[in-house]
Amino acid sequence: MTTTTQTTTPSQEVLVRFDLSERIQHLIMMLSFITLAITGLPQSFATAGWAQAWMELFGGIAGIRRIHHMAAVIMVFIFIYHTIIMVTNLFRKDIKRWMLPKKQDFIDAVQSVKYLLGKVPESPRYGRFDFRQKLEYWTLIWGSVLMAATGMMLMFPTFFATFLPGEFIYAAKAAHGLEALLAVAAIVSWHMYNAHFAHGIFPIDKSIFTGKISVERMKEEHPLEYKVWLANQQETSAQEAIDDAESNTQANNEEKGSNHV
Amino acid sequence: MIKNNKLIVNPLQWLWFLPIIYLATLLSACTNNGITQSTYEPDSDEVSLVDWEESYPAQYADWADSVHGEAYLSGDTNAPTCNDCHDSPKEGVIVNTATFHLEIPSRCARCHNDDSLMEQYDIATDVYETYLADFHGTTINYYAQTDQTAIRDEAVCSDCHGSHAIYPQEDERSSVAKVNLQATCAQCHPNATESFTSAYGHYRPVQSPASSTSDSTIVFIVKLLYQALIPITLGGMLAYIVLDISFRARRKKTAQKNTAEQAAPISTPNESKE
Repeated sequence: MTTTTQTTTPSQEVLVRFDLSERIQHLIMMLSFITLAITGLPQSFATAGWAQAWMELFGGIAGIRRIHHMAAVIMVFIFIYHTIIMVTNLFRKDIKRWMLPKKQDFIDAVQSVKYLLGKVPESPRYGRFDFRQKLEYWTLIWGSVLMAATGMMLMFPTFFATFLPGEFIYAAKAAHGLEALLAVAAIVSWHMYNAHFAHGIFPIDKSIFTGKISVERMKEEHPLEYKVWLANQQETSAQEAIDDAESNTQANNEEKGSNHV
Repeated sequence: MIKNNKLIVNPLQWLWFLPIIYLATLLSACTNNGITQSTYEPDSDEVSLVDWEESYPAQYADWADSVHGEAYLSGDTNAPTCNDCHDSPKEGVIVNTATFHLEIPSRCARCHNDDSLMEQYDIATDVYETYLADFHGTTINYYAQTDQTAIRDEAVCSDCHGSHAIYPQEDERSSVAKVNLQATCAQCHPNATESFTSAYGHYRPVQSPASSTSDSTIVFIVKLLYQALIPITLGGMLAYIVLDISFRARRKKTAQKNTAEQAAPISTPNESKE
């Protein structure tokens, strides 16, 4: 059973910010993204000498394409899985819709820039996801849909040409390559900076892998989420106290009735 | 310490196996192909056309009627004859080999990639570059340079344009004339529709800048969009990162200054005592 008392000091205290499903989604997304990037990049510059040496590492041009396609299928599956969860969450009353873009995000973005410039004394107070994370999330959603759609057009050109003009196949190739460039550059700069350097957590922010975050960091980076977490915590501890009391009486009753060795 | 029972009994625990399966699948897909260097060198043996005509009358007739043959026979020695593409007939003409198939684009490119030569005929010189930029050319070029024994189905120049009976696109006898295009594509792509024929057309590489004249409208729009989107997005992100870094540096400096100021009043009385 989990402990019900909080005896640890606040600085050492951790809480769970990402559940197992979210951690696995991130892990698979990360693995497939990296695979797609390193198998896609040399294909984009296939005639260059370095690209050919690179492709040899993955079993030549046929091998690297096969790996690229497989990683793409995996990413599409994890994307569908994620979409199903997110859409069902929209219909659940007990889940807060943290990820939806709101007017507040734009206000936050402006305030954040002002704060960094020293114009205002206070940093914006963020919820579960700040505007930087939402920006990245929604570009990832847009990118995934676009990459999957254009990728499939390149895999099945004759099928798509039955209802689309032929130039669209080549346009899909252009969009696939250019969007990939944008996505990789954004991940390398934006995501790596915000996840590894920005919060004084270098070399790595482990919370997306372990799910845990210190209460201290939570208060600083996600004060609004912390508030909600605290409220839920009080609610559940009250509920648990009732449950515990009930189960204790039950257990006591059972113990009395059975021959305990 | 963590009070969240829901996490421990999460029914999605089996998903942990997916990354392992994922890595295993990828590893199994990594089969290495051997690298062999290209041994191709243009053949310089001159064999008389009469010899060729005797040995291969049908091919000779096709060539003589083609844009190449017609030009050569009417006195233009720039135009290719049998010798320019094939080895000597006496030693046996090698055509049905994997190597020859892989080499066809580079053989055609010897003339068609030559700007000064093509200029005289007002023929596009970027056909080789644009061929290499597409899937057919990318693949063929890869094997031509790494494994010349690979038997590949990807189309080379002659698969679309013909080998001996090559005509200008405007000529209705040409396999790439508008009326014949769908049938030509359908040799390899059985379900090719009329619109599929414009999926390929020696388009400029996707990395080349957008051009309203040499890109088709939709490709032009896509390229233009990304030419704006990439610098705006990355520029904005980098600007924010720079702001953030400088803010942190400033804050660190102020913090150091504050500690120094705090230390100062303690040291001053000590000094005055002495």
